Order: sequence, then C-alpha cells, then structure tokens
Amino acid sequence: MLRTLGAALIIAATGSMGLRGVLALRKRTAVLEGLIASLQIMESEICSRMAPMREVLEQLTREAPAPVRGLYRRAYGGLEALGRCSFFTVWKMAVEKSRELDLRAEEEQTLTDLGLSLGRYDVREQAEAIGRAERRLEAALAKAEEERARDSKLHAFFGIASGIFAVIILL
Amino acid sequence: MTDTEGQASRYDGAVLLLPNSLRERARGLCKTDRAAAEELRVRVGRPLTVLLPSGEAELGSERVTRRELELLVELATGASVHAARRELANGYISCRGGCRVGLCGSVYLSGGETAGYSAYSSAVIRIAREKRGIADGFVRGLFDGRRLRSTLIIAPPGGGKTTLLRELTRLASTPSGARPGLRVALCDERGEVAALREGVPELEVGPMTDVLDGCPKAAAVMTVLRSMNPQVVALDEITAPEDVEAIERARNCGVSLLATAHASGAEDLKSRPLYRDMLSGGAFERLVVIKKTVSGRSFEVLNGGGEPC
Repeated sequence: MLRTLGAALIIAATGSMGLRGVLALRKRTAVLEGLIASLQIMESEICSRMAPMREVLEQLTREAPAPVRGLYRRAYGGLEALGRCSFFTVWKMAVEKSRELDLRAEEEQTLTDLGLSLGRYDVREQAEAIGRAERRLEAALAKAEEERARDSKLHAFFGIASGIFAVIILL
Repeated sequence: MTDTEGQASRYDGAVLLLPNSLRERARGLCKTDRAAAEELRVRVGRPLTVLLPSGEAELGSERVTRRELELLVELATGASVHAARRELANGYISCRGGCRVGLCGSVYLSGGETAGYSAYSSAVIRIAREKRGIADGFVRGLFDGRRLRSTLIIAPPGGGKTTLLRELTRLASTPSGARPGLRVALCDERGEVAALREGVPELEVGPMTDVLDGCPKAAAVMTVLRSMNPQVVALDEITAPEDVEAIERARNCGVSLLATAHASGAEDLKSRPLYRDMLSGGAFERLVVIKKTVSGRSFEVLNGGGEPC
C-alpha cells in the first residue's frame, strides 16, 4: 500500500514538472500575443487620436491583455519620475522590472528599443517603431507557437515517463 | 490668497516644468521676486535666468546642459511630442496653469513648414499672470451702458496683453452694480488665457465666460458665433488676415470684441496694412495701450481712431 502511494507521488511530482513546462510554453505565447495586441492599441491611440503618453499608458493598464498589464502599470507609475530621468529610462525600467513576462533577451531588447521612439518623435516615426516592434514580436510568437506545438506533448510525456522510470528503478 | 501669494504659487507651478536639477536654483528666489517673475529662461551652456521687472537675473552659475533642456521639453509635452506637434510647429508648448514654453533650436521642415526640432538650444517658460484690479481705473470707459465697446489691447511682446485680456474678460463676464454680466466667448487658441483643464478654467475668466481652446482663432470665432450666442467675443493676438476677416464677421453679427495685437502704440499699429484697414473700418471703438514703467505697467485708453478720449 505504502509502495503504491509512493509510486503515485513520484509520478505525480514528475508529471507536474512536465505540466509546468507545458504551461510555460502556453504562457509565453499568451504574453507575446498580449504584447502585440497592446502595441496595436498603443499605435492607434498615438497615431489616430494623438493621445498623450500618460493617457495611452493609463488606458493600457486597463485594456491591455491581462498578462502584460503589469508592464504598462509600471511605465505609467514611472511617469512621476519625469524630470529626474527621461521617458526612455522610465520605459526601460518598466521593461526590466516586468520579470513576470519571462521575456527572452531579444524580446526584451525589442521593447527597450521601442522606448527610444515613444513620445519623442512625430506620429510617423512612432508608427514605424511600433510596427517594427510588432513584427519582431510576431516572429517570436510564430517560433513560440512552433515550440509549443512541438514540445508540449514532449514535456507531458517526459514528465510522466520519467516518473514511471524512477518508480521502476526504485521498486 | 493674496495676489502676491497667488502669483508666487504660479511661479512655483512653472518651476515644476524644469528638470529636478534646475528646480532648486529656481526655488531659491525670495517670495517677492517669485511673485514678480515673468519668465524663466533656459539656454544651453548658460546659467538659468529669471526675468524680473528690473531685468534678467542669473539663478546660480552652473550652466544648463542640453540634456536638461531635453528633459524640460519632455516635461512640458508630457513625453508626448506627437500630441503637441501643432504647437511645436509654432514654436511653443501650452502647459498647465496657463504657462507657455517657447522654444528655439534647429528645426526640421516638412512640406516647407516647421515640423519639429532636431535639437533645442533654448527655452523660455512664460508664467501666466492674474492681476485683478489692473483695469479698475479705466474699465468704466470701455462700457456704453450695458454694452462693452469693442476694445483692442496693444503692447509689444511681453507687455502684459494676455494678462489684461484675461482681466477684461473676467470683468465683462461679472455683474457689476446695475450692469449684468455679459456672455463672453473666449477663443483661447494657445490655452494661456483661461488655462482650461478638464473643462475648468485654472485662471479666473468670469462666471459667464465660455472657453474654446486649442482651435485656430479664425475658426474659433465662427464656431462660437454659431454655437454659443455670445455678447462678447474675446481672442488673443490678431496676427493673420483670416483673424481680421473673422473679426469683421463677428462685428457684422452685432457682437462686441475684445482682442490684443502686437504693437508699440496706435501709430505703430496704423502703419501696418493688416491693422490699418481694420481700424479705419471702425472694428474697434477703444484702444488700450499698455506701457512699461519703472513701477510696472500704465494704461492709456484711446478711441478707435487712436485719439485720446
């Protein structure tokens, strides 16, 4: 009885590790989708409505997809620091502090680079910079979806299989 | 709050447009000077200065850096150059509290017109002034019974035209004795007369004043004539033929006018073709000429032809 319980626990533990891998892949695509969707909102607010950055960021803290709202909340809160530092610094800090997004280095760099143009140039230049960031994130999303399709089953399989393997060895 | 305290607090508000590294220097000014300050001037490579009635005075000896000036522009635009593009093309940014930041530097063009700045070299923060009572000595002469005579305020740049326009707008809109307040439509293109914020004027322009800001003057005059049924139309700085045209249309609608123009005096104004026809056509019944004196400003009221009255 005790052995059966131990075996079940081992399989559950390794299985959950596999499941975490699956969820991480799912979260990654959700974050990238959220960033792309929020950049589209940002682009229309800046380029069509000419809304000031404070309004744009405030709106995104409410309307951006849930996984990425933290980024905009930090950037919006950081506006209080204008005068001590530039908007670029505020934006860069917000990107760096948004650890929950689990961005890869090149994606983080894409967002940081965007801060060099936001609010600083006329609408055309900002639209180009946002479009560039969108394209890079879309490329990352395509890869992430590929990885997810390829690796999800692998994570689940290896999670459970390694548990069964450990049980066989131990018993 | 006394006038001095009010003006000093407006100075303190203007200081918030400076980057933190320059604020302490600007805050070092005594209360009397803060109340009297008209402008803060920021020039790259030169110390920060304040314009007082006695002249420009340096605030500390440290030189302003290019980065500090860029931070100032970022503060003034709320890090939103795109939202201030129309103003930037005209060389200024309207800010909260009725302050206005004028800019100089290297501009870039688009379609032959200024589109923005590639580098900034200097900025001036003009502090909005609210001086109640400055027109008390002559305001009765501007009224014909209950009707306000169309009045043009004349002074060189920095002479106090906007301050007097604000005060006359307030007085016209406020009931006084047997005279009821008049419905005034204020066309505040640069937002520095009323400093509208979320629909509420930050500067006092009277209880019966409707403010239309951000709209080019000529279009604004036609809009308020159509929509607000005003008895008086007030507008700052007549500078273009279309402004003169709009004034003529307003006059034909039986509306009194309150306006300002850049000139050193009535003769100077009449020497310029744009204004000469307007004056000879009788668009204005009173001219108020502002002159700078050692103690502040003096006001001379003339009839529409430029003769004392």
